[in-house]
Amino acid sequence: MEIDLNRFRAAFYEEAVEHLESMEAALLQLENSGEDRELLNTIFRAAHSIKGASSTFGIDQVARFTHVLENLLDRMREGEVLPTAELCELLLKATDVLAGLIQAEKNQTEIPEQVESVFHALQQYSSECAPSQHSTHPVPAIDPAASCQTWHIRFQPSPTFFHFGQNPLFMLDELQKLSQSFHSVANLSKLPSLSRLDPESCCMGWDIELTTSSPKHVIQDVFMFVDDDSSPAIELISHPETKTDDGISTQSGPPIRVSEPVSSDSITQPETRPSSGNTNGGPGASGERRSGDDRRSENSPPTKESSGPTSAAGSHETVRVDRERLDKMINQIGELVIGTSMVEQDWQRFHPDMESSALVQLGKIVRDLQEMSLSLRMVPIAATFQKMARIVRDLSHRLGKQVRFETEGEETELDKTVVDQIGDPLLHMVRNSVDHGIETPEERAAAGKSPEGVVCLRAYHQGGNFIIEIEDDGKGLDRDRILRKAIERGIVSESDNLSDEDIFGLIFSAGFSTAEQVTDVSGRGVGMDVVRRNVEALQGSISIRSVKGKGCRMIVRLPLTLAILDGLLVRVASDSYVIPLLSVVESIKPTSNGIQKVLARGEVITLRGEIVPLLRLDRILNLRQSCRENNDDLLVIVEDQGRKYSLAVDELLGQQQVVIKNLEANFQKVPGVAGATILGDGRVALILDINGLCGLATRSSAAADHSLSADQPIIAAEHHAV
Amino acid sequence: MSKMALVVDDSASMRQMVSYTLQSAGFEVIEGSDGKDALGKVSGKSVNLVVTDLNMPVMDGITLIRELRKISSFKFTPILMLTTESQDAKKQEGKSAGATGWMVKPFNPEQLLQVVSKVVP
Repeated sequence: MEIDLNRFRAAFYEEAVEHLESMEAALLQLENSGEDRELLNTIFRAAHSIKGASSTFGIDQVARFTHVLENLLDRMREGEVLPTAELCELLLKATDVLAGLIQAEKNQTEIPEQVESVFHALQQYSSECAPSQHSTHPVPAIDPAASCQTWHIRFQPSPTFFHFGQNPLFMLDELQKLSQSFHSVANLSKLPSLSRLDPESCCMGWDIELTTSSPKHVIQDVFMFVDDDSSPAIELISHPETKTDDGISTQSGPPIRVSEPVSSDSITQPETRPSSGNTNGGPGASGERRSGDDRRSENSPPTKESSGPTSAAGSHETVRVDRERLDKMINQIGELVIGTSMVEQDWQRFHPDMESSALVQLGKIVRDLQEMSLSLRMVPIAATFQKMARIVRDLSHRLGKQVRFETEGEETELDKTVVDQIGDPLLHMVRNSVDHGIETPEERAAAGKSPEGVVCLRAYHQGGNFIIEIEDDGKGLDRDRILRKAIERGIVSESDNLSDEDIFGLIFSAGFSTAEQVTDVSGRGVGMDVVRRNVEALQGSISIRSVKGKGCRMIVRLPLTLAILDGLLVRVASDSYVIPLLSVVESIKPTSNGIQKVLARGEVITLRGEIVPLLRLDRILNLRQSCRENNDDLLVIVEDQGRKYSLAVDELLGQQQVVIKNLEANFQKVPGVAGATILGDGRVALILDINGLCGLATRSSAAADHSLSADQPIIAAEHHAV
Repeated sequence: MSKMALVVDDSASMRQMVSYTLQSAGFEVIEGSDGKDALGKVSGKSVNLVVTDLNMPVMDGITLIRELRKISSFKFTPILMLTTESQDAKKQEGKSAGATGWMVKPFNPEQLLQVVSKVVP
């Protein structure tokens, strides 16, 4: 039978990653705790599993590497090698290399360079240089050229033989198949009288004489699982063909009394074996075995209770599901929600006075289903935090800083998509904290702090949001230096009146870096602006709190899921738009003289003394049909990054939970638009991306205003004057 | 009614491979991710074959073999353990716990079926 082992590789790659993660986590703990048997066992087991599976699936490079790793870990487990800091460092490096190796195998890309050097370092530690044996279990092969020999075998199983799940008749059957001639005599000398017979103990033995072309080790292989105290005595009786020239075998062994195969002996095994629950089946008549198709099914009398692989125990089980399939299902359930609300609307249209309890029930089930489906994608943030532990450790070592890494709320759950995408920005912020935030031990001591700095990652839910905080007790942000730099770079002008938060926010601007020297760590060309962009792509936001000399806290606010959104449905001209409810502050009806035009700055309103820019959606989105430019305009006040904007709309249609459909996947990225959704009546509404919209408006307002003022050379302030 | 096998391994890929191989040879397979999990899944049942890894979290293979042999319906069931060449001591331990035979990793499906045919023809 040909079974393609490649089909199991995907599962291997997946579990290998998990093993590596647990290995890394345990190694980091080991480094702090020193010798710990349980941790060593965990690490060993992970390496052992990877080795076993990789060698089985023929992933030789991985097998070779893990073999050496396993040897070393085994010696550590036995206490022969101590987990020094240096060794932990090497082992951590080995997990990295292994991860790279597995990745390379998976993607069929180049093997990482470090493999050999780390491999040799491991070998040196474990002082064992034997490469992994790829030769496998010996397969008995019958050499047709071998001459026939006659053997005598005395086989007397021990009384406990059955208790090891052994069946001597299987072995006799197997021997018979090897032989050209086969004779066996049952030895009943140890058989007690019936009254004293213990059916659970084996009291029979056999004398067998067989002629076979198979070498001795093949005969021994038949008894490979037989214990020493039951092991048969195998003796060569004759070499017929070496003795006679004409090739006729001269059989001169002991007398042959029984010429029947043993399995049809008068005393057969089933009677001596207990029937209770033994589903092995009796040996029955000898027959062909090997392939599963012609196994005789009557060979396995089933017991009633073996009803199938259904798990009766309420054990906690997980099922791995391809993400694409899961997403498809969640998407379909989203469609189902839309479909249901379409039916609800139809019902209301045709039966305005009647309530359908069935429909209400259906609606509830569908919404429950949707909630459930969304929770399927929720995973704890723990794994992401774990990775940061490693980063902090490596980085602080390299920079000669002492940093303690703490996490809180690792179990907090978040949409898998968000978890996957938050890793990079988080990594960058953590790096930043260690590199720029935490001071060297000397600096800290001089500032009267403990030499060990703390970087803390914290996750929690707040409202409908998922919050991650990165806090350090380092030197904090230098407000003045940031401002100076920003002015230097032309990001802000000196005349701008900026709050502390505004200034801190500047570090997220493109092309901003205050590090005196670009370090190996943070100067990778990926600035904090990329961090902000990534977070915003996830519909999140970042804010910073910092006190100079005390530390800095970055707060990342993320939606719990990217699949649905609470939105405010509005009408602009003849189209519906969804404004994410999170951004909405309030809706107002401005007084007739509330809207002011500011030269080169577009329009503004005054909201309780605060100047708020006015964005006209029809203009920003280039709608052909304008909304009514009268003073009845409704304004929706939205907030983005702590700044307020007002959006002019024609009508508020209501609050609604919408299923987000990705626009990019089906069309292309549209600035100012986060996605689309299908409304209950089947129409499509665009979901506005407030952040993008504000950027769009700010960028274009100056230009637009220029052209406007050129066309209409009137004093702006007079335009709306009564 | 087909034969029933219990496959226990904490490595999902190994479990898949062993299960698939046994299924293709006509077995129905119950899978367990460790000894404890396996015991829970076969309680009240009986199987024709057990294939178990030795190194597992929660409950290792040796303990599982001992526990299974205490159950009357598993008293005579063939139990194969999966070992590696570096685990000779473990193999002995497994044998004295009541294992029928062993399979040295790495192995391929053909080798597995060959060994299985020794204990469940």
